[in-house]
Amino acid sequence: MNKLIINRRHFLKIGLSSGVLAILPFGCVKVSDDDFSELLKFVSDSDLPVNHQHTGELSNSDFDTLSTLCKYVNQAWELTRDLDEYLGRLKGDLYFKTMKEPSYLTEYEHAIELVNLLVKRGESVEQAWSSLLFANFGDENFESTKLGRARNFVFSEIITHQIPISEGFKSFGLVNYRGYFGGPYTSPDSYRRGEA
Amino acid sequence: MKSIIIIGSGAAGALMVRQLLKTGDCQITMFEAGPDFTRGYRKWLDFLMRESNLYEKFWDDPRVENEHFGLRGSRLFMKGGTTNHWGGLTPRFKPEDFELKSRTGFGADWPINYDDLDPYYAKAEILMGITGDSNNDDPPRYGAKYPFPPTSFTLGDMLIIDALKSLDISYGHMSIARNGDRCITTGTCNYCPMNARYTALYDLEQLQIEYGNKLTLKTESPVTKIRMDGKKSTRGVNFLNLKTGALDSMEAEAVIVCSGTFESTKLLLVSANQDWPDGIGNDSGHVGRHLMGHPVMFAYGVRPENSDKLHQELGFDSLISRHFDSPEYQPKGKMWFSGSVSSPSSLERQILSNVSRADMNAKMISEMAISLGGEMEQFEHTENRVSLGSGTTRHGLPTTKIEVGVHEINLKTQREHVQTFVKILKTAGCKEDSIETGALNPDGAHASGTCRMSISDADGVVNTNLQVHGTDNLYVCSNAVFPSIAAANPTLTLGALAIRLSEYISKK
Repeated sequence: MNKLIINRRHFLKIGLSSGVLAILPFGCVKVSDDDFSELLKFVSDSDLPVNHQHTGELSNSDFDTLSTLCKYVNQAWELTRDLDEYLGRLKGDLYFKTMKEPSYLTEYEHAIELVNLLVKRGESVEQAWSSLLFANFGDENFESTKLGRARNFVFSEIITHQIPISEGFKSFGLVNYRGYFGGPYTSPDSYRRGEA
Repeated sequence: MKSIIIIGSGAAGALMVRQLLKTGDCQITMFEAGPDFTRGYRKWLDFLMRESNLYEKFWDDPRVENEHFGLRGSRLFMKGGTTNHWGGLTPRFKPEDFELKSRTGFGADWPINYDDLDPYYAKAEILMGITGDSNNDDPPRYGAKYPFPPTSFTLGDMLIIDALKSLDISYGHMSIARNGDRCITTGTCNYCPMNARYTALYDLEQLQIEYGNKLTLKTESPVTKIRMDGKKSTRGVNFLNLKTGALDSMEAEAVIVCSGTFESTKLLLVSANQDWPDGIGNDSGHVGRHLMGHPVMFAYGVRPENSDKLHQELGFDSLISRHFDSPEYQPKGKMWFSGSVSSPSSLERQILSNVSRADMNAKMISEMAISLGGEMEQFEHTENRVSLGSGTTRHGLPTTKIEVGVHEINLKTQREHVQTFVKILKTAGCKEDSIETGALNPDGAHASGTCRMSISDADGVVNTNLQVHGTDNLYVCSNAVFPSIAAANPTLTLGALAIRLSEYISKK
């Protein structure tokens, strides 16, 4: 039996601040034992997406489910006022990720199954995302489980895409960021410059 | 119409193709040992989202690794060669760099000088789309303008600049191969979606469109031997088709070896025949000797204040100091360095670690990371050499055997340069206990010297026109021909030599 070892002491041990603990919803520590096997089902230790030859378009409902990750991150970290434009861009970019090899289609479908699983058990979408992103499992093969792969190939990648493309970085006072099209380097708006 | 074979599709090869096709009536066949590489938006997305190393599969064979001279990860075997992952830094060498032996007693002088190369530097700067400060006359530009203005200093640069000023260390704008009409400052420079950073890959794609069947590019086709017709003339090459496994040959009126320092050297050695028993151009034993590279130094520190929330907003360096790249430092080992300022951790990494918005903000204003990195000149040593290893790599090329020692004077100077970095970081306000330093051995990216240029065949391998001594129509155009390496990155100098050679061949 896998053991869920997340607790506040653990967070303190790995160096996270009390401020982090304060925002951590209790829901995220409540992954029930029944869900362990599905979350931690061994999938593949390939460095390519699972079944990378299986191309196809993500359904609208599947995209809507994945987009709740962006909405959760956007809200929890107060990034931008309006995500609609970004979600349109994300949809277009995920099309490239699923229609061309190595295809991420099955990787996304596995990730969506996990969100739906927790939501079906009664968790809010926010709680589900919090659990999926941050719950810590004592499984030594975690990286090759469904959840491990979803974190690596789906959640992490989408958040890395979201910060620059949604312009979420601007809420921190930054002007340019890796992945953002800041404009010509000769344009005074493309990055903050100094006078020597 | 002149038939020409060019071996290697990196910067030297691509620039030669462009100039030869523009100025001469010729038919060029280019051989590349590595595969083709197709660009596209999906590759950019993967590079952005996974931060993956797109080029790892094109690295050198694992068996070639050497303790004192790293090869894995420094060179790329693919269409466009190492320019696919280069930083694009393009400083000129300085006049004194061509006179190392006369000035210091170390290494060798170049048989050409800065003024000989100056007009070709200017042409290379235009062809490679370089941004830079046309008013900076160290080294002299004789009025030549960069095609694009320099990148303005970032706000973060100012912290480093203030420290440099107070230590009386000079600085300037980095010259860098970022086409100013295309760069959109997206920060994913190792895979530029706009092809703003110069790559031979993109250059060759354009040339193939522009010149059609005047240029044939054979990828996955390592050249296994240069064929000679007597001692003086080459008549072509033997090559391997890696896709079919078939050996083949091709004839041409001239052969130009542009395969980088290691592969160019090994090709001359492996092409030994009855007229050249120790390898072509190796009657005096210089092929493979005098190997040099750039030892690297870096330092990193944390400054406990960041009220402007400085973060790396530009994906490339805009600041350079060539203060220690001067005649006074030449006897010890010249050095240039650059620096940048960023937050210690990316926003996405913090979110994925569940750091709250409040904590991210607090961390952002409470500290910044300042990093400095530079390269120094390594003095050549006859015993530092490249030769043929046993067996072949997966690219169908001979494995590389490297024998190198370490020059004591370079080690001592390297330590001094690191201490200079520490002083700069402390002056910039970094906490002493946060400062970490490091030094790395040279690697294959800037390797030079193993087919060096000389007046006489007793002192080197190629003449001032890069023609292998004792031959009529065989040339080497790679960093291998450099008699000394200077501190500056070598690619612009290589580009200038390639353009100069193209004009020579076109007129011949």
